[in-house]
Amino acid sequence: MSTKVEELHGGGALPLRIRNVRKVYRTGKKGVEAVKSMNLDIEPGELITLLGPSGCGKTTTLRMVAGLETITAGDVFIGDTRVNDLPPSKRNVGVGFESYALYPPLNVRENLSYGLKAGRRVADPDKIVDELADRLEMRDLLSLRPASLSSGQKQRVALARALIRKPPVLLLDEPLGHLDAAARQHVRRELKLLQRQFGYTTIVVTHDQLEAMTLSDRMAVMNGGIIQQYGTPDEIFDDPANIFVADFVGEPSINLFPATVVRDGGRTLVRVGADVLEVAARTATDGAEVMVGLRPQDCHGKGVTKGLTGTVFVYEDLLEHGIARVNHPGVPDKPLVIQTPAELQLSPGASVTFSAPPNRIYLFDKDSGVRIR
Amino acid sequence: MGTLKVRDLTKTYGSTTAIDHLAIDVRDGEFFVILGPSGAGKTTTLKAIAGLVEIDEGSVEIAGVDMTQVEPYYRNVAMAFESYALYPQKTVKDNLASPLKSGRHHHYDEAERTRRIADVTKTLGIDHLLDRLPKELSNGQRQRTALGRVLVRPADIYLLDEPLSHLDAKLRASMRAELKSIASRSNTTTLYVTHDYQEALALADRIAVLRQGEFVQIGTPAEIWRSPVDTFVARAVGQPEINLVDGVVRGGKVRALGGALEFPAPAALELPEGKEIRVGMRPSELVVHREVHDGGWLRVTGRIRLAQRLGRDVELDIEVGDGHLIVIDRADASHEEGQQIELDIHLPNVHLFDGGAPDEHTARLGSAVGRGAAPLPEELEEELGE
Amino acid sequence: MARKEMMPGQKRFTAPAILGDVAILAWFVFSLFPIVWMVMLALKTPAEQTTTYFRFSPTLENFVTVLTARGTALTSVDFKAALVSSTINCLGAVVVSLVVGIPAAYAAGRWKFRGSDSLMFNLLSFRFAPELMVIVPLFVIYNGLGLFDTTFGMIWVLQLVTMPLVVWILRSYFEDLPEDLEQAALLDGYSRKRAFTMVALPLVRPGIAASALLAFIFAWNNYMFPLILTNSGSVTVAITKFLGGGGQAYYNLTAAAGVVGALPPLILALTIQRYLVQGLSFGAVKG
Repeated sequence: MSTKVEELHGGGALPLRIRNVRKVYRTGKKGVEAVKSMNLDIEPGELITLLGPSGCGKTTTLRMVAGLETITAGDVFIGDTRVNDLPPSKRNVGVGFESYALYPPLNVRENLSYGLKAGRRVADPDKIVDELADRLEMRDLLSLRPASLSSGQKQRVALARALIRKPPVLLLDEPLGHLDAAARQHVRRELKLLQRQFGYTTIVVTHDQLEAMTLSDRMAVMNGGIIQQYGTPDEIFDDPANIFVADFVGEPSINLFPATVVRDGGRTLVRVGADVLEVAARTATDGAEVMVGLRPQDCHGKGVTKGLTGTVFVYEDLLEHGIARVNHPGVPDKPLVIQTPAELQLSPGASVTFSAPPNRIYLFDKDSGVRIR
Repeated sequence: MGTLKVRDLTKTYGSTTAIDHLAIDVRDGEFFVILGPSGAGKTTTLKAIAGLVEIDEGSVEIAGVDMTQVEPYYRNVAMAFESYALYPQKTVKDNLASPLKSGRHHHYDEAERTRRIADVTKTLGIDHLLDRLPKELSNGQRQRTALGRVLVRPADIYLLDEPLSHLDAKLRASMRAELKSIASRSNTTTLYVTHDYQEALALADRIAVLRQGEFVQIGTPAEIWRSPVDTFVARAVGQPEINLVDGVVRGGKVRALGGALEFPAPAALELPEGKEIRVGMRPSELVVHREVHDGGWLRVTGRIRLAQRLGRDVELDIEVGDGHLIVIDRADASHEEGQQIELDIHLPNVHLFDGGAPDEHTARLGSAVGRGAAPLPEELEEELGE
Repeated sequence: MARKEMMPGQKRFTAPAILGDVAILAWFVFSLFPIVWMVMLALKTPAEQTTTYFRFSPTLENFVTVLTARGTALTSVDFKAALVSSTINCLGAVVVSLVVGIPAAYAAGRWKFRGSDSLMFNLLSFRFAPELMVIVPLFVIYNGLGLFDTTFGMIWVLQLVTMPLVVWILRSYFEDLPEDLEQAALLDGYSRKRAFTMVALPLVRPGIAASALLAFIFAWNNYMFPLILTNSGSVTVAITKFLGGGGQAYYNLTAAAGVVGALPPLILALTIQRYLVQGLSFGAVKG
């Protein structure tokens, strides 16, 4: 069964299917279930991210696809080939891991061409290296050795090494982690453009929700070894399936606070302290205690007479916009965070009334956290 | 009276100069932020002021007293280290008691110590962790303990070294707000060091931008934003970074992006024909054309190359002429990749910098209307009546 | 039994894998054998001491002889006294090395002054020099100074063995110690000395334990210096006296002496064990 994946499919982009995959680590008698039961379908040429906090199972999943971990149960298919028992070298995946070592005695150019040539003839390796180096803005690094590179630079080289062979499947683990803000923006855009252009089927693993939102065609938000929601960034952001997803994605984070549902004719409202907000959810029952999710960016105060009224206790002027923390009597244990337009300058002690469009106020079940639609 | 006066502060390590003749004047009670990328010399500056690093040249005056040759334990400054530097074998309570027990500046009896520790830990929300060891705490709790050790006793100056940099994004945002509220209540002069411009904007009375051991600009957040002294400062604040495109003065007009960007050169700047110029436009100030504006606006046309979602906003990478511009727009508007798009920018928001080599930082000459500073976002929005 | 985590594509019971396991087992038996034999020998009667059987009638008589009688009819060696003097000399040497070596290691680890590296290498070179080379001049000097067979003299000369170990291992620990902690103590108001004892010292405890143990073992095992500079003043020399001469060798007694002589370092290792949190990394390997 040791067929090479590429030979069967001629090197174009391949779909990736993960079916009922489970991973258990055994330490002594106990087993730790790192990945519980994962199902994922990735179309050829799609870039998906696995997003979640550390320990959620995302890196374990990636390593199972790469062949660096055994699969306890379930199957992984690259194209039509079941790859569970193939060692990494036979799976033809490009891997960019944080800890992926660069060969110290070779300079960057040699490292890249080594990855390019490994075991086959290549027409003009230097030209390919140069082109890629230009795209990732690393021309000046080509003659340096790994020892003289900063961690951000090393990361770019590791990324380039994964990209250089244009593999049908690309697996990246936190590709932008060590880069400073400016480099991150640039590499992020170039990575997306390169992926588009060459059409690699790509899985990116990250804990940074902004990275996931900007790069993904679709993203899988994970926690505790399970996928919480799998969808486009729009779906994840605008239509979260549960509290975990709503909380994890979005910065500043979503406000979460308890409220009571009030049905008024055809409308659904929630009561927070003495105030009332209209929401779009239709299946909530009258009188139910729910958790309300309200994003700071969705709050607005323009011409709002009916909404939440509270007192500002901290206001941060970030010039392009402001961030105010507001104490509301109906939410006793923490302040509500709202993002304010630049021209609204608030000071501590000021009273402010704000609201949000009904379809942007989310309701979640108090116990299970599941979204009430 | 916690004033700080620093003159000619210099420190070299071998052949590299970490900080080069720095000068600052911090007023009593001011929250002064030093903003710079990693390696700029921020920590060295703080440690030099604290006396933990021997300086090669310069003077440090704290509360009117020359402290240049004085040992750190006499200087009456408190510092929160980036690595937290919590004593690993001591509990949170003992960590906080340490500065109170040394007896150097003041003698505190047991009752007084307990009271102070209780106050500080309550404010910081760690009063339930008093008997824990640092290794049993989360990152956020450790950071608050380090801060507690600073706040637990009065000092002339608080020195905070990147206190939020190892926290995850959510915690960072909430700690930033907490810091702001704590700072406004205490009147101790604070020197705060960071590489995150949002922290600087939110917390600072004044900001000093540090690059490779030198201060490039010192001013209020508004001043830094409106008239950055050069391209480095312009890029240091704002996300995504300001767009910088190279252009040239031809026939009385500034041309860039292969002609796709063109506007009359401002007379007040007296730019000679053929002068190389760099045009700066902030992504948030390039507005997608939706309504007609009165005069004083510049129109640019391009094609959407990439649309990436940033929360409630969308970052558009737009091909314009022979280059590209990054623009921020609302996510609920429609953006198709490949779609034609028109952008407007208010002329006073178009910064003009001197031309130069691609990696070079060049000085600001003015804006598209003259020498003055660009308007602040709040002033712009008022004008637009949005 | 822990199962080895296999990589995808690897097979478990291949011929090379099994042969590898057998080879390792064989080496294990081979290495441990001398110790097993020595213990067996120590339990054998004089009649059986030259046999090579594994079956014998064990006796503790040898241990009694070694520890009480003044040796055999052929030599007179007070093993007990040798045990005591070895213990005093080695412990003393380690204590002196720690008292002097800890501040030295701190200085070497924290401050790189001109010539510090060559000074450190100089210190290490004491371990390279063959003892035979220096032993004759040392004897002459010691004799002249009246230091022959004295505790003071032995502790002093053992510094050649213990000091480099202590300084080299601890220097690495001090180098790895983040400066921030002591700086925080300085800003809290403590003097440099207080900052050192309060913060730095407790953190290098594993290093102190490791280097002290290693230094003790090397000092204990040293044969050449006590041989020339004392009168059977150490366990290492005393053991050899049981070998006798003139045709009658008491292997069983020698073995018993060997077992007893190996005990003190073993006991020390077991007691210090809990301070060796990070294990012995010889200080030269930086993690």
